[in-house]
Amino acid sequence: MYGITYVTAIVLGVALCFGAPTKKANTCGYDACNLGDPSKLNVHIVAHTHDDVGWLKTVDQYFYGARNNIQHAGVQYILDSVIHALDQNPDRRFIYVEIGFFWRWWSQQTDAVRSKVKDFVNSGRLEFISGGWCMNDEASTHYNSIIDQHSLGAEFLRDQFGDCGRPKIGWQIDPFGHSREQASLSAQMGFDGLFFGRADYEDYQTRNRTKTMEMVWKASANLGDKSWLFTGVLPNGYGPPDSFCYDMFCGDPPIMDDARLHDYNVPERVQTFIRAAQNEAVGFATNHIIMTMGSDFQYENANEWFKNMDKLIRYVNAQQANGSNVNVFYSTPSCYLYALNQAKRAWTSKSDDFFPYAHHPHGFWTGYFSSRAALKRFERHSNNILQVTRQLNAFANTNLRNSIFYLSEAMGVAQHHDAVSGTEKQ
Amino acid sequence: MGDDFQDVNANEKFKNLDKLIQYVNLQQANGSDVNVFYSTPSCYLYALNKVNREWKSKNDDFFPYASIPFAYWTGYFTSRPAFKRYERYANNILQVTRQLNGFSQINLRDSIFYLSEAMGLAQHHDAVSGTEKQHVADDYAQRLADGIGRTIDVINNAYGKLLLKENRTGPIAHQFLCQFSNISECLPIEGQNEFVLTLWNPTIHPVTTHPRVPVTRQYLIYDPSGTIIHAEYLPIPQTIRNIPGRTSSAVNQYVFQASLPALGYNTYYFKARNATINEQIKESTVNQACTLQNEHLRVEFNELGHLKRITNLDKNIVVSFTEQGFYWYVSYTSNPTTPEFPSSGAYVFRPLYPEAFPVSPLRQINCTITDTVQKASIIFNDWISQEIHLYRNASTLEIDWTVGPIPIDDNIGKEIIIRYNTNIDSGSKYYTDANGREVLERIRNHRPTWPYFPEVPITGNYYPINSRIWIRDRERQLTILTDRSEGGGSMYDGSVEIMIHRRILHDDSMGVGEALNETAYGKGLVVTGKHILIIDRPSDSARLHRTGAQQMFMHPLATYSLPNTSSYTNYSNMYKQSWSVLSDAMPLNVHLLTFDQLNSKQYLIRVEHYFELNEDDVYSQPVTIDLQTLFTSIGTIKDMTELILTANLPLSDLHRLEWMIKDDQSSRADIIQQSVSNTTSITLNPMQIRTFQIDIL
Repeated sequence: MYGITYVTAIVLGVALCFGAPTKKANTCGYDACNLGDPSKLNVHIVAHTHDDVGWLKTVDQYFYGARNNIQHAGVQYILDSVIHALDQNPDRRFIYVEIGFFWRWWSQQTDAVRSKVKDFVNSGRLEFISGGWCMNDEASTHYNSIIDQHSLGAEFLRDQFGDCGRPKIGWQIDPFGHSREQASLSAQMGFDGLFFGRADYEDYQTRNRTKTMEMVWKASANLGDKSWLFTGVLPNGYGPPDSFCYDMFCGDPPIMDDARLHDYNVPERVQTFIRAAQNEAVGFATNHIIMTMGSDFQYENANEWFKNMDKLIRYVNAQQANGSNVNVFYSTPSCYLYALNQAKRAWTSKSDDFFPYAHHPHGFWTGYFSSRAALKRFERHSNNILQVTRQLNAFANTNLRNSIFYLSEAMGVAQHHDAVSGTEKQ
Repeated sequence: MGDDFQDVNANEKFKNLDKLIQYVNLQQANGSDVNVFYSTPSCYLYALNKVNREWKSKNDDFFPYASIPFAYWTGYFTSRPAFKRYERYANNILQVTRQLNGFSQINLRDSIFYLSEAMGLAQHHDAVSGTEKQHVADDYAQRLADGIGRTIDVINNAYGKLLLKENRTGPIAHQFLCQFSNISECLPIEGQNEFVLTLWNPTIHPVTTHPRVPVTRQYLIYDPSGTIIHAEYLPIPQTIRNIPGRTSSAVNQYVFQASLPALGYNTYYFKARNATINEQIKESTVNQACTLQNEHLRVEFNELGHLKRITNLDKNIVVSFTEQGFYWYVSYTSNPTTPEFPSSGAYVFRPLYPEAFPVSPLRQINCTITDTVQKASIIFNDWISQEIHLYRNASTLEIDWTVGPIPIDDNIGKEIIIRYNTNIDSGSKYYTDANGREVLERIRNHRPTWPYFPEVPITGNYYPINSRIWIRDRERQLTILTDRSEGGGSMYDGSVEIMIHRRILHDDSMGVGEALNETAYGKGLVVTGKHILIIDRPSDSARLHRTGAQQMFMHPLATYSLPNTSSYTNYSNMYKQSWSVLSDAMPLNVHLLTFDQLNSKQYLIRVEHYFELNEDDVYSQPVTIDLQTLFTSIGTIKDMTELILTANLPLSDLHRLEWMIKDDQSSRADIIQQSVSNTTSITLNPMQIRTFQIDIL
């Protein structure tokens, strides 16, 4: 036991020695990014799952995959499956967001699995994005609790994964309207940017028409450029382009690439994808675009997604030999953002917010500002107790922080955009 | 722990099973006697084997299957009859192609793979069964068609070696299949001055067959010896010409008798006549009583078109018919259809009433007598007809039926049967085959192994008829051979009924989720088929139905070519017009099941004794053959290894588990090494199939 620890320490020490000056030994972060080909339309494939920490089912029902008659969703299987799929091909990348789930899963893993996951994180193949306990609501959350829920996730990631686990990108893909304070807090949390999925339909159309889907958000009237945050509105919400969903919940055609078999579809799929990429590029400012390949509780069978994306990438890029300018590769939101940053262009800015959200002329999502008024108050009451308890623990020097974790965790879950927002099932 | 297409996310299953096993076994510490672990069917079976107990035995089968009262899964015995026939047709081509590849030693087994693969898929229990969705049935058929298409190359390469005379070289005229012969259509030969029909007999016995060649001109037909043969020039029945999708302009066809050598071919050279002549129909009657009679059989019809009597003249046996014709059952409609209360559908045959209705009150009969064939054409209505053929010198009677489009304008699903009601004193017993081989006794409203209280009279008495059904009394047996799998049975003493087509408007909710309503060319699907009738003594019937069924299953394969030799003389100078693999006659009770060239010097063959014990005085005896006989044209057998049936293990390496049954018998198989000597002679016992890998010097 001591021997093993000793050897491990030496190996770690050597790695750190070599790694410290340039940070190159760890290939996570921007250094690990594929920045594409400047002469091509670069399509950043971002494989992701969006896992609500409670909505139609409770957080633990979602975690275990219980009550699948309500909604088929089991986060433990998603993470199992993604880790297995990442192991199959080093080109594959995946991002994970909701640490409330990841913490549940992590605590059940063997050392062998944990070690493998750390390798993936350290090589940029698995990247934590946003990294809060949940993807918090932006309308009904108090900044104190937003900070707490992000800190709860960030503390776990720092303790388990170190620097490569530190989230650098905000990822508010599902919340229904976006607050300026959230952006300001994101900047102060050290994030380099923010992406979200839902913008008012008229705002979206205008931005798409004027290639201003991406901007710099001046998120505070007081803090100056400390609050500035690069912000992007995602294409397709947070789903894949039409007909390229390869999840087990989707019905889109897989890549059928053995010409001996029936229904061979590689040329059609490749052309459709190239068309989708070019259509998307029309609304965006640079020769980099992002495709969010995933959706709610997807990747339970990650192999289905990755197997088809592997082929899609291979066959689409093979068309470059025939003059196609589309260059597609696995990426992450950070790498996409870094590519935009490296484009060295001047971005438009914005200093208001993204409220209220309407998805069509008679669809204003403003009810949830008040929905479940009792829960909204109970959440504030709980926070009051949480903060007081922390103070009492500290000033009395009782060192009982672990006993406060349960309320911290519950508060983290409660910040979710289908929790304090009031949009969950009873 | 699984079900259809589960385990896409195997982790979900295993993660929870891991935990379940761990937590259940932990309870053993608290006195639980449940011990659970991952296993396999083999391990479960081996555990049972190790128990060393005596097991009950059974010798009937598990047909028909009923999932609940009123839900007998007997409809699928007939569902998709066109595909069921197409599968047999494709197999016929597959087996012939293997033989041609093997005997011509062209080593093109890879080109046959496509058809082998398509046939492999077609055997699936939702393929040939007819219980797949329509688009899937279309795909299965397309695969067979593609596979058949790939065999054309093999057929041409083989005939390229087999047809040319010694010291002749050069490419042979392209051989092609006339795949629409079932609707008397062969467009490539229409209007040609000359064409050649080549018939490969895949059985190891000489056969007599009666090709029908649809033509738009009149021809002289030269047999392999150069003799102009006698052929009947007969109109193609209007009922065939009316089939939707038929594009041929041919209104006549030649019918002639072709006697083919065992395991070999004959060619028939068609040369257009310069002038048309009136053909020699001896006699033709319309709506009159008539009799078809040859050397062996007399078949009598009354003026209303009813089959009244068949006489076996050799044995002086008469079977009278109170009825022979087509009936339909009303498909039961359950609203809504549920697994507990199903409609009739692709799987389930559930008639609304326990009786079938005649398809028409009246029928028309037209009898035609020629030298080669005598036939009664009987039209029941504008969608059902039959042609009953008695060929010169034939011992059996052939019924060609045409059914469809089945009308549904009354919104009633219909299930069509052909019924043979005789005065045979068969009681409640009838006999149906299993997969074209052994025959099982069936007893109406009875199950051999449990007390059976039939809640319905018809569907629970349906059994699969894969190749034959018979009823009999002490003196007489009526055997009916089918050209595909069908369902049927004997619902009344002396009666046989066979379901031949189904058009149903509801799903039976057993899984396929589609009504079995097949259409083609915008109309209900028309299906044609054949039944062969044998009337003989029970003790003499086997030799006719065994050989007859095998000849229908392994039918001579017709290929055509346009030789461009301009005269028969030129043609005959160029080509061998008759050839046989065999120089010696093979015993009648032996069948060549498989002849497959594995590589240039290695072959896989299966030979079988295809008679059962005690069904024939002569042919139910063991028989010895010399396998070298089959290889005379190829070479000398250097080495032969007997394999198990699937050809994946030497028979001598097979060690099956031993089981004890109640009467103290052991299942220990006596693997008799019948060919331990270094001869190539082998002995076959009744119903025995033997598989050999043969190496040639």
